[in-house]
Amino acid sequence: MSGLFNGTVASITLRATMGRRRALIFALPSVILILVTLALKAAGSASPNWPSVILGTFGFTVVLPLTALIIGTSVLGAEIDDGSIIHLLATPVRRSSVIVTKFVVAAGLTMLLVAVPMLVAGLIATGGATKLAIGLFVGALAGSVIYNALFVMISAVTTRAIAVGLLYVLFWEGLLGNLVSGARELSIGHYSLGIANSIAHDATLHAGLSLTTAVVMGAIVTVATLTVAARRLAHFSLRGDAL
Amino acid sequence: MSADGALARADRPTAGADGVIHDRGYRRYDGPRLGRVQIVRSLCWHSFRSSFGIGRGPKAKIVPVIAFIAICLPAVVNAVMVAKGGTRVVSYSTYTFALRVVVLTIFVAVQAPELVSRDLRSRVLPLYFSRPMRRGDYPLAKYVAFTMACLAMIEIPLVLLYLGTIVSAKGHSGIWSETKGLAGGLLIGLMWAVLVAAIGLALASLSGRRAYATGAIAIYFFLTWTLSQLIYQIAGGRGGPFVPGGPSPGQRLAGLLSPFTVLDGVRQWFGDKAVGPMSPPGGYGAAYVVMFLVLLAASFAILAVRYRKAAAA
Repeated sequence: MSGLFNGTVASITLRATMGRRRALIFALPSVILILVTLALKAAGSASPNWPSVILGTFGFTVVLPLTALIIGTSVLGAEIDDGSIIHLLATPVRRSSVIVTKFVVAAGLTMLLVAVPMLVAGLIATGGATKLAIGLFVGALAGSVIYNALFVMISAVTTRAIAVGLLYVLFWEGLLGNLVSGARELSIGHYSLGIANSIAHDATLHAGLSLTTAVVMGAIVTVATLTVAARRLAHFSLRGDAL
Repeated sequence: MSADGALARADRPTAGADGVIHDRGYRRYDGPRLGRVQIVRSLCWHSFRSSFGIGRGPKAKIVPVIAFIAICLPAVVNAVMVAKGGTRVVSYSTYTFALRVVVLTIFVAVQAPELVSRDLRSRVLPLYFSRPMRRGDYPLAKYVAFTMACLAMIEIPLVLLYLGTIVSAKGHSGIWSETKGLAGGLLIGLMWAVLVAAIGLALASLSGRRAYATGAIAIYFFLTWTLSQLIYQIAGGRGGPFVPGGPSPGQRLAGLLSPFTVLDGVRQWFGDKAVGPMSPPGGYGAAYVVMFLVLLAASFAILAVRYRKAAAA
């Protein structure tokens, strides 16, 4: 791992991603998640299972994938977009190490901006370190890793990473993943939910996968997408956006 | 300045037979100048085409084409079912709500930045404004173009739905009632396009980076849509929406969060009876109309402010 992780690349990526005012947009969904949780807690909701509805559905189908999408596609995609990636690729840093470093930064940022607020919201909603809060936290940690591996790969493959990623999140996870049960096996949202549910054991999470399936599939997806991304970057050629 | 110019011209050796080498045959343009209206019209047409990636490479067409096919699928399925002897399964006034929401979210999030963010990024706005066009013309042209693009995404499936239904319809009365349904659906679609295009362009104009603009629009549309549904679900308590005494005030107001449910609230306030994603707004219908106007006005205000000093951006 240490051979694959490059501290300099990591610090440059971190600064480029978080150093601007627009980085606020990354934190926005999580802030809304916490605000909604606070509001519902204060309102004394009629529905007893609202924490798992808000945190499970809202957190895992909106906040986690969209935040991961923007972070995951911008760690590598922004540099490809403005062409500064050639300066990085011209240095004697292995391409696989560039991918892994950027992936680690993106996953770490997503954990910080989604999983931690999710834990906070879970603690507020359930009033303590309950199984639900811990389960959702662990699920969000896993989701941060798998989603970012996918989105880093997408941004290495296409210059329209965020558009393709959005198609995946909204069509595949949003519509098909909930309608067609077979699509669950290939849905990162369901891997995260499966992992969360193995701790929380809450039927209202609508987790469709067992822990083993979720962990195994999640690991396969992470490794496979990162491999594809590294191979893709190794054959990288800089092209302008086709007009 | 003009005196200097005249002097310079007088001093210059006359371009006679000797000075041919300097006479490159440049000519002034003496033809008609089409002016502001034509500039706006061609900018509008160009923007409409680029909303669907026409005139760009195949990669630019992936998302609009997939979105368009997806939103047309229910109409095609309906045509097959009707041809097999069934009745129309898709409503004109709501179409397939969840699918329309997802498709429009993707379409607007990906294509609105194509119209405005690229110009900001490559700093070509000063070039536009060096033409005889006013400050407001640029956002106006973009807005008209994008509204037309959203209209095409919303109305073409409705027309397909209509055609697929009437080819199997029996008798004039059947066709007439379908036509009335279609007319209502088209008007509702117009309302959708007007609002969704305005919000999309306003959010997109805030960032010159396409990726961030797309993210901002997707987050706004999808987050509020999911949130309003969840609040609706939670506010319903155990009984769900069909408890005696009708939906609670919390349920009736939950739709105000998302532009899509606001649009549906306005539709139901106008008296359309088709079942929407949420229960009818009841006595709060006027709030939905106000929210619709507020969202529209806020979007126009953002666009107006954004392009007031656009040349400096």
